[in-house]
Amino acid sequence: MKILIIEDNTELSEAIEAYLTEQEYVCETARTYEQAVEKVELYDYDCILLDITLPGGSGLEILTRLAKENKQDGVIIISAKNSLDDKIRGMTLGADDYLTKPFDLAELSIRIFSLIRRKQFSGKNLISYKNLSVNILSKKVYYDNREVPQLTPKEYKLLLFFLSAPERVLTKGSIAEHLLGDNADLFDNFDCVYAHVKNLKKKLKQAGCTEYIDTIYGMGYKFN
Amino acid sequence: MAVKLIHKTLRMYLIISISVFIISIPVFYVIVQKLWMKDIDESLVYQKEQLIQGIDKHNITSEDILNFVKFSSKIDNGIVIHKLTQAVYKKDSIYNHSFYDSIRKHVEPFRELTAYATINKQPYQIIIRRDLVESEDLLAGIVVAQFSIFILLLALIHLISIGYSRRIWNPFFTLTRKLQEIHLDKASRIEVNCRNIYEFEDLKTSVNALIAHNHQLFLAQKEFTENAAHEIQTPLAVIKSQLNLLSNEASLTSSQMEHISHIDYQIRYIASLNRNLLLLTKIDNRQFALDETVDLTALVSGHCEYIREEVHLANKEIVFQEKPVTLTGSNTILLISLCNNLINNAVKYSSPHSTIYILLNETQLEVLNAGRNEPLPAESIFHRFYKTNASTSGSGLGLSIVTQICKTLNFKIEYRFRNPDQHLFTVFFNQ
Repeated sequence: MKILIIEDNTELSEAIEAYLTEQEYVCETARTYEQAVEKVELYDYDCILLDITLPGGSGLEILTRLAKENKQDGVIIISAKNSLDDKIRGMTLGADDYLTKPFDLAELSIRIFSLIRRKQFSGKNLISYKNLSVNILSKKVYYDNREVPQLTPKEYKLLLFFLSAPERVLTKGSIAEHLLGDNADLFDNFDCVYAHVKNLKKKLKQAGCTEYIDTIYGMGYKFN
Repeated sequence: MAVKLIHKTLRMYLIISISVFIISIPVFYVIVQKLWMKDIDESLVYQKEQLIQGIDKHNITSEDILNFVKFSSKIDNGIVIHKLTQAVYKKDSIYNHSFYDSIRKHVEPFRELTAYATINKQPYQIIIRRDLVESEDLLAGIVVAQFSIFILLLALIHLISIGYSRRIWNPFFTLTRKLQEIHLDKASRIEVNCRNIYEFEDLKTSVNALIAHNHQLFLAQKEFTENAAHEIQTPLAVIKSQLNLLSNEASLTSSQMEHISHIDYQIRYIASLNRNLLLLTKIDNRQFALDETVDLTALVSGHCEYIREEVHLANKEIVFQEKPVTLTGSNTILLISLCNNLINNAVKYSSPHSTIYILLNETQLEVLNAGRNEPLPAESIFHRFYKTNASTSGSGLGLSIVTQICKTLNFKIEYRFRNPDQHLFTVFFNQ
């Protein structure tokens, strides 16, 4: 899977590259508008991460170019601007998703994960990790072909979040934000994250799946 | 109570006309009286001279004159000539005289000329008198004439003012109407046909200059807040991504993990604070257009559904008594923010195992929750950075965002406490 990171901030770009490379994505980077245009015209990518404010030009113009050349690359806008105008403009120009800075790398990862899955029309409706598999259409979860009891929408969302970043630490905060968005500060101390994880573990256990979710002391959880 | 300009001018016209009318009557009377008197006096003198000349020229004898006087006293034609025994040298005198009029049966004013003349060596006294109009009649005539003119003038002024003012003021009304439709977020000019009237041209130029200036300020402000947000968000994004990488390092000690967790928590807090401050600035700058029709019921029930699982996990419950409510001329983002803040607050500060009641109808949105056993300080809870206690995770901006949104949307927000522990927030839509 090839990903192009168009971001002028070196530290951020490198951090994204490091995180995604470990997840076995092939990453390339562009720091300026010219570099970005050059790479976009020469190669095809499964996913392009696009910052809107770039030295040398606007990221939105790259979107226009992609559309003009009829390229099928998936685009996720990563912008510091949380304004709806930009979001709507980006989406109408052909972006697939919009992520506001600052974001969790795990959140970025699951957005890429779902975008690529959506873009591939190979009828691959099954996400598997070791003995665990999830049917995207029926939203049913199987462990060793045994059906896991019906998950609630949030538990299902949580499981997909884990599956998108296996062997990665997901902090309680990033889980809360993934499940609740701007409402993440609804509950102090992320008690609800703990409760969600506990219930998910319980249901997985009923199908015989134990020890997939590790608790990382003080920080969060890891899917193994 | 504002008065229409036209009524104000008309009232002024009326007051001035009445004063002029009142003053003009005696002035007119005096002038007319004087002119008329002068004319009568001149004609009396002329008649006297004609008389003397006639007698002299035609050699009329004193006998004939005596006969004429006898005759004229019978028909009272106003001429009396007395034969004098000796000549009197006195100047002619003209004076007012009143007589009892036996036919009209009341006292009539007369103007009388007494002259002494010697004709054909015979001295005479000549008295000529002329009937005067009574001064009351003159006054009445003047009043009637003046009053008719006055009424006619007023009617004309009124007609002209009402009829023409609409035409003349048309550019002004067009201008104010267009001014109300101006949005500062869009660069625009007001175009009005001012019919070459200097004042309106001036007004149009000034208004357009003001609009252009405000638009510039608006853009600068918008750019500043957006840039400030951008400048803060990017380093935050760097810190967050670096922290994400750090937390995935192998061989972290448990105390390192705890440090990371604290940093992670604080970064989220700053990010949410920044987001809320940006939202507040945008609301203050009126950067949200109020031109959407929003299904409020769907919005509230959508949010309740979105947080339902977490509310259940906290052993709480939301009861939403809904009625279909649609608001026009509103803004989705603002309404989402308003409802979410109120509902989230109620959930957050409600007692364990309690129920949050949400009631929505055409006039209001009520959010009721059981919480602390004492009322919140009603004046300060809507202030920025107000917190019930320092340990809560909120930014203290939620309710001030709610207040600002209510101001923008012309809503009214009210907080009430009901014994023993019920906290009620009501938003009145006033639409």
